[in-house]
Amino acid sequence: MSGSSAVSRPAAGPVSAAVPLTGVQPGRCARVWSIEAPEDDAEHLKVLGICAGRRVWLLRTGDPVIVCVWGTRIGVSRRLADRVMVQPCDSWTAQGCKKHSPSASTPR
Amino acid sequence: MTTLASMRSDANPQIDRAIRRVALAGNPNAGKTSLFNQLTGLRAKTANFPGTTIECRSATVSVGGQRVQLLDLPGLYGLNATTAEQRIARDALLDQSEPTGAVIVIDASNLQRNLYLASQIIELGIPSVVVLTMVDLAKRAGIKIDVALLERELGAPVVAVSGRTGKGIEGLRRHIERLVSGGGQAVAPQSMTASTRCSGCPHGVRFDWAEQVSEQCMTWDGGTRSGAWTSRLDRVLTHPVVGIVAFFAVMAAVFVLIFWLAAYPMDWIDAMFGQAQAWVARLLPPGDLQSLVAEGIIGGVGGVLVFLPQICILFFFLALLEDTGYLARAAFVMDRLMRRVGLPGNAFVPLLSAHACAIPGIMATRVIQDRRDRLVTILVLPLMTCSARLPVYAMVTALLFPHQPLQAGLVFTAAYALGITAAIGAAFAIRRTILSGKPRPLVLELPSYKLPRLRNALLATLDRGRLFVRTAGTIILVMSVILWAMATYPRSAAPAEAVAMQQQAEVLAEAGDLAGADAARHDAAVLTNHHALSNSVAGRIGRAMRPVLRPLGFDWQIGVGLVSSLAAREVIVSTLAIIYGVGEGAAADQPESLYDTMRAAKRTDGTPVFTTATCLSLLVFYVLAMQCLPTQAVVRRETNSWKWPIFQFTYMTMLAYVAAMLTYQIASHWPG
Repeated sequence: MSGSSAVSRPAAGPVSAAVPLTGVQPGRCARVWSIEAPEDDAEHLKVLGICAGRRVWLLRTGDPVIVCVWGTRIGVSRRLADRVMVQPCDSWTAQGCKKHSPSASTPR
Repeated sequence: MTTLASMRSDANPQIDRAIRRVALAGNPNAGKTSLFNQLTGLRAKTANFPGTTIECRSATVSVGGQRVQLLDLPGLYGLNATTAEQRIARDALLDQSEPTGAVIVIDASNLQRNLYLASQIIELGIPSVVVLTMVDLAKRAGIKIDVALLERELGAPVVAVSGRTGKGIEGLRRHIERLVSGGGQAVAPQSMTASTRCSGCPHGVRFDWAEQVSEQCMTWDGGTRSGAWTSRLDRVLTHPVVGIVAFFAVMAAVFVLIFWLAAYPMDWIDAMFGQAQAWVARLLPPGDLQSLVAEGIIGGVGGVLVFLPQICILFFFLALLEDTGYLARAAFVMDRLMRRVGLPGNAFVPLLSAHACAIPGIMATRVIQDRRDRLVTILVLPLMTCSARLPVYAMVTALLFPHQPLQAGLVFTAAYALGITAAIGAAFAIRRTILSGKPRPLVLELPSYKLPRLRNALLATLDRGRLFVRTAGTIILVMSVILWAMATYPRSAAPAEAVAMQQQAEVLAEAGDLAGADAARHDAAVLTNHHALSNSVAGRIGRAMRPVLRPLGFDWQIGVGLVSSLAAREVIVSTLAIIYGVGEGAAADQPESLYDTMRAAKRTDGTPVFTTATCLSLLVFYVLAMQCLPTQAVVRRETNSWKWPIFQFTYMTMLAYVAAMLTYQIASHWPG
């Protein structure tokens, strides 16, 4: 795995407790820390926005899981979701997948 | 690391040449196909990008008196050249020999994600127009977009187009006109390159920029929470248990509709080709030409075109389901189950479609992105019981269990189950040998649910129907003629008995016994046909295959059937009718007479040919064998190489042979 994996981490930020995406409670926001999967699979996730530094929400656990990024639901095999390391953050989503960027989650 | 500034260096030097080609680019599910259909209507043609199996739709339209080629690029999330689709789209946009402009399709209800691709295209220096789609959906969700600001940020004109009402499409046409008349030179805007925050991820800068721009250009008035419906439906439809039950219910409904609705047009097509044959028989003098046109061409082509209604109805429903966003959920819920046998979740719908006909099934595998996953699916797909096998199953069950519907039903079920089991086993084996490895993990956007558009579904159906007729039709024509020639030549003189019978018929006719004369003539014709077929190339091949076929319990007559049914499996029924001397017409009008004759058929040693063991062996052979050259032609087209269809033919035929031999040997030695 080591040779083919593309591990990219944000340059700055606290290095506190990165957990696999599948370990986050459904509905809770998480910031992607790194993707420790083979290049091709990681690339596939990244263009969809599951990329270091982005905020994502786990909507459904199981296999595959559903992840919400930028208002879109994305189905991801559990095997791959296990390799997305995230840091849980404080914001929660009441229901479903919001159509807005995290910062626009309150009506303006 | 790729920075936005460095990406500008491969900007396109196409400024001084006139643009005659405009490509539509956008994320999957952004409403690109809908827009393309609105711009082009029925003029669109489907082909593959040269040297690839990636589909490309294009149409020539007139914009402001100029002829412009519109190109529908595959749905993309980015232009990073990591997938074949992305490379092709990039090459098409940067094609030096054909300066290309871009219509960038952006889903207004999902601005951030869509801006990623838009910025990449604009930065390549490609003259672009940005189209906001799904504006109705965004409006209902309370999203407002500042179009003027977005134009400034992107440095390209932005038009909003309503997919439902077509409002804004004229404005888009004017912008395309400006693009081709040279007024659309794009300049990479400042704001794109000014963002310098580096987050380590090569996509980070662009994502940051997209977030920033969409925050500036978009306001949300706190209206209806969009996606609430999607969320509610998904709670049911993506549920690991309920979702699978719902999926099977949807698919069962689709299949009942396919077989029920298609029955009528299939009858019409059958009748039409029958009429055409009768008409040719009247028009042309009896002889080789009449036989070629009536039996070779019309019979052969009609035998396959009869499946066109099923194919069209199947694609119509699949297009409707895809448009609603449901097909993505189908792939999602089936993924875990399918993965166990080494196939991705989105292989399920093509495999199911193959129960109507393998050809649309193979065409439907285009939804599978990974090449290896797609190949495995294509390789095992013809093991599914298609409609063309049904006449063969019907014949065998009638021989085994005349007038016993329960047992006949069980045989049918067993045949279907055998096909599915064999496909699973073959996928399992292929995944451990020639295409080893696990299927690519699922990463799939689950788009918001929306009402399907009839127009899109109809256009997709038309497109697939045309593709089937064009690819399958031409090869079928050629194959039918070749097989006709094999069954016809070399010509042999009518046997003495037939000549005698014909003379007898003349005598009877002169004596006034017209009914007797007709019967004698009919018998003479049956005998002549039987004699001609057994001496033809096909007959000789059948006889030459005798030693190979013996362990399967087949006689040389069945061998002739095997050869002649290579173009279409159901042909074996009419071939056996001729070779067992029932006459082709009788087989269709009174199938019982064929079955009676077959039951009475004896080997040279006096034992019956169609014992239970032979029937079962024949059934197993037809479940598993790749007896369909049109499918092979489509596999060649879809895999771009002869290697895969040849491999497929070999493994399926070997599988069928061994399984049929085992069946025969076990069944014939079964005590009692």
